[in-house]
Amino acid sequence: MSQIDDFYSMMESDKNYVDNFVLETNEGTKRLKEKFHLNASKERNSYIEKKIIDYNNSLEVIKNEMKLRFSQLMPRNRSLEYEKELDKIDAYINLVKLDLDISSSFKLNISFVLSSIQDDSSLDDLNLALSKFIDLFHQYGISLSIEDFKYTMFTEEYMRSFFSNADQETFKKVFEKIFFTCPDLKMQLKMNLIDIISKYQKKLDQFVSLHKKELYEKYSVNSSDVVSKYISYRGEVGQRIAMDEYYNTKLFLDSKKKIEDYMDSSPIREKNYNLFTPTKYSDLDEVKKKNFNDSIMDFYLTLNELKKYYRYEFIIKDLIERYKNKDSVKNEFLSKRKEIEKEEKTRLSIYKDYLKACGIGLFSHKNLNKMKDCMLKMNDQVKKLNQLYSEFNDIEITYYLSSINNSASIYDLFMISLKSFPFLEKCFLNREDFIDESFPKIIDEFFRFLYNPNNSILREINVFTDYDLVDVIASKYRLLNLNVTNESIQPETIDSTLESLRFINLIQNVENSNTSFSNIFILCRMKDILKNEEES
Amino acid sequence: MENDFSFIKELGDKELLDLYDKIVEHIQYLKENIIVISDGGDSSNVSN
Repeated sequence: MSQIDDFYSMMESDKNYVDNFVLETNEGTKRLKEKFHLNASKERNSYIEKKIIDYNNSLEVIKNEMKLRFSQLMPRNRSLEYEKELDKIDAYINLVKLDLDISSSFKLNISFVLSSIQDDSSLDDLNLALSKFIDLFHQYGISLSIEDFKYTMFTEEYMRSFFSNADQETFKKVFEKIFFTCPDLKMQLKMNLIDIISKYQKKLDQFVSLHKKELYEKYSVNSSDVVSKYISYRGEVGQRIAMDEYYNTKLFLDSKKKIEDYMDSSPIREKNYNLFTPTKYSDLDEVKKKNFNDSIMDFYLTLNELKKYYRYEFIIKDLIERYKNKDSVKNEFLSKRKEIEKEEKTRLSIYKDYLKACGIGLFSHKNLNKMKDCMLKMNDQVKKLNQLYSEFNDIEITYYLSSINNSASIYDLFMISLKSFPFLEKCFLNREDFIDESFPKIIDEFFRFLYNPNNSILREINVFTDYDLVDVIASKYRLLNLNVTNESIQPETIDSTLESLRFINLIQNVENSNTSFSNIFILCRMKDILKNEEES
Repeated sequence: MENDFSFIKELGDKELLDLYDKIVEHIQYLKENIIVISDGGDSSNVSN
């Protein structure tokens, strides 16, 4: 007999002793009977109390053993290692961005500063954006001065005050003073920044080129392998994190998931599996189970891609409509650009006239009426330019669509969208579903979506054929013997389907890792026991 | 009892948890069998 069996026998003996303890007697008077019962009760209580102390001591010993085992069983936390790897992934996506055919101001984050100046920006927001803009240029080796802010007489006046580090009160007064003669000051300053970007275009391009060369050497990548290296690295790290024993165990220890639901015998587990099998999952033979598990993993990744695609589908719809007009827009695009150049020259000449009217320059005399006239003209001119830029930005993206043909994939079209920052700005900043996120974060997520290692449908499906993406996906997985309906992967239903797939995916990740649900179950039980001890 | 209890080191994790549960259950059983004795000497079983 083993020692544990001895211990269980001892417990059984206790039980027999307590159950069979004689508490009553038939002999003697009522008083004697009561006395017997009282003494017997005291004696049995004393036995029980001693036993309870002994067993509680035993529990303490077990808990100490559990504490030890818990720390031994608990998988190692690799968060710090992952943090480094995720930082490397961030660095890699920047390497990918540097290689894209997008503007240098986009690559260098200058465009985001411009987009932060909106109609509803406060004076503080405006000044913060100006500071950031100047700082960024400084980082890229370009020192901006008042000479760069002479887009209009108003921007110059405002920026003089800005560069003189005026206090907030003085600033407010300057702003108010200019505002009455130039209510569009914010817009003019924004256009001034656009003008600066254009003025230093070559220097920015050179900086990007040099910066790219340095970073590509540092990370040992080149233009032909940077995307594939990023995708494979991100895929590998992503898979390791998804299968990480510590993270997956923590999901259950922190009560984010219920371990009982994931155990073999769980009805919830069975229900989720059966959702995707034509018959019961448990009725499948081993080969079919293996095929099912391969297909379901693939389906999970595809649905994640589809779900994200739904989030950005509006861009594709817009671009498909624009593609129809791409040929007619070509000439319009070029003539609009010329028109802008011409109107920018007019703006410059208004500015020169203004300087003359101020009495600046040889043989010039101050002429207040002329000055006021120039200011009015300038306001109208910048408004006109702003309108022209807006029209130009709108057709720019359609113009870029000329570079693709009818065989383009969904992915190709998304990549075209990156070529026009104002288009992206217009797409995302007007949509309610993106309102809670900052624009740089939105674009960062969009990049990560485009370069997701698991994207396959985006790259394979032609964007211009009259396809039904849902039908293509559902048919594919039906052929792989999964029970998938078109209805289950529509924008309204995909979340619920993904929830079940996520459930199965977690099971697969745990079962393919170095831990198991039995281990996690044991850790959860030990944690509950030790937690109760801490609370008591 | 602590000295005699060293065998728990040899137990598997599941067996250790089972042992813990059984002891808790047994303590509960024992507590239910304590007879409450009033000041006047009357007694009654806790479980009643």
